[in-house]
Amino acid sequence: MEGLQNVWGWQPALYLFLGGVGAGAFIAAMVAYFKNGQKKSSTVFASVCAAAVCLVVGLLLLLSELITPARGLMMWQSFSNFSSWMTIGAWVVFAAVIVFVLEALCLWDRAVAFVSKGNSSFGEAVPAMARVLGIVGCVLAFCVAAYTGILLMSAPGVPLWNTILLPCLFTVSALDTGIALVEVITFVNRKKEGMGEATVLLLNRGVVALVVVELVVLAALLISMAMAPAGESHTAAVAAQSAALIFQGELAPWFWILVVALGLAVPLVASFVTLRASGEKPHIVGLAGAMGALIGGCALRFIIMLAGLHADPVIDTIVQLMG
Amino acid sequence: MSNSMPAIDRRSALKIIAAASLTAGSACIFVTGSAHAEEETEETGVKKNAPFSGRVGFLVKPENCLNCQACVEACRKFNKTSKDRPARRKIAKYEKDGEALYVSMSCMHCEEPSCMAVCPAGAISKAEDGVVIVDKDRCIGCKYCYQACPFGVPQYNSVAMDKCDCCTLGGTRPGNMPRCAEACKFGALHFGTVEELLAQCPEAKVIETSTKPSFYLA
Repeated sequence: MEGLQNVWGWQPALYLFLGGVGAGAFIAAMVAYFKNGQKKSSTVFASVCAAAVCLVVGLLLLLSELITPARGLMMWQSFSNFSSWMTIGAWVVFAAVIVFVLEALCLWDRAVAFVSKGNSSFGEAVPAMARVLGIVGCVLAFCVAAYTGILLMSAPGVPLWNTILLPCLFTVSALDTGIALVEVITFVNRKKEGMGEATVLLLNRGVVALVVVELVVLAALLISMAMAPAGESHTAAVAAQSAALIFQGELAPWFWILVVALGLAVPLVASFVTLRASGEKPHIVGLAGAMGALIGGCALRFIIMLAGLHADPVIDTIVQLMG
Repeated sequence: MSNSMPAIDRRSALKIIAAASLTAGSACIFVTGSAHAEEETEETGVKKNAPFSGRVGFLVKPENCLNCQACVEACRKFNKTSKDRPARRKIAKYEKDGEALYVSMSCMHCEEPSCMAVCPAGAISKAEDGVVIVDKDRCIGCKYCYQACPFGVPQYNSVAMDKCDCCTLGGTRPGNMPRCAEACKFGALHFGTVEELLAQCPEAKVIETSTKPSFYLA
């Protein structure tokens, strides 16, 4: 793995994946919740819980990567510079975790029953609260999904990351993997309850659309890097080098097998099969597609992280000096 | 090719002088270094020199650099960087058509440092004279500054981010000449205000990046 980005290890890569999948899962769960007429559902509840767990684990991973994790826990001090996307992102993730947990409590019968024991009017307000928290949570979730890409985009020294296409790619991938997580939970919970035919249809159509958009954005990102005029500047040369690493270099087997085949092709085919089969019960093929999407989404974060090579702007000036 | 010959001749001559002066002068440097150290312990906390008036920076003349590592060693010694860790300064080698140039590099003390912008803890700041400094008690070690720095300058030890602060010990003693520039005997590494450096070498080239580095090459 020599010659790859190694200052950030596996924790930030996993943090970016979990942040995205958690955000996407919350949005997918809320789509199902609103599509089903805001009926209480154990699948939706479990999906919201899983979304919150993903974000919490992601934050813990980020903390574990720090040199001084204990200092990092003092968020009011450690994340106080709001010109940094890491600060904005950390607070958005923190807020999202709180909203996700509150939404999970609103969707949990036992919690609602416990709280409304002494106060019946509270119990009556719960559906409205769940609705508002659901909408606020979706906005925060979208911000978290985009932030995972913006965090890398705001590194001017790394040409592969320093493009608006990266937040676009990570946002689409977050939604895609989020639906996949909800599909896995639906499959696990299939004996208890179904998702509803209309919702299954909607989510699978969503997967098809998202995979197509993701393919386009991924291709645009890699082609724009590969086609960078390498002779003009070292930054462009490093951009092309990063793309080559992914296309045909050390990372190529992982990219083609895990990201393209498992992460994009398998979910696309699985969604078509599920759409043709239809029905309330989740299909085993749908599970395969969802698992593929999750593995591919995770591999994508690792590959983008590892291929993020630093450019050296000094070289361009040296070339001028050397004539 | 003909253009490169005088440079090589000059370099060879400089190498001979360097070898002789380094051998003969090492004892002197050692003695002078100890004297400085004594002076420093006596004057702890005393701001003896006036701060530089204006933004400071480095001017590097690769044609004069012999890769003697004196700047790196001076940096290592003053900043007490242990041998098992990379020094805050390094000499990068650039080659083109068989010709090699050595460039002594460290933090560029950019006018608009991206490390400062991305630091979530606000641990990086710019002193009055433009030196970019790190508050080690505030740094959480997230390594975002490394990713943001176009030159990949920030390094990390077990405590926090570590990089050149122009030998100001975290901004506590402005006005001192960095030890690396003092140690360079061949006129390859200069330190001063940007105005002074550009007046000294008007043809110096600035490195084109969004962060506007205070680092010039001539």
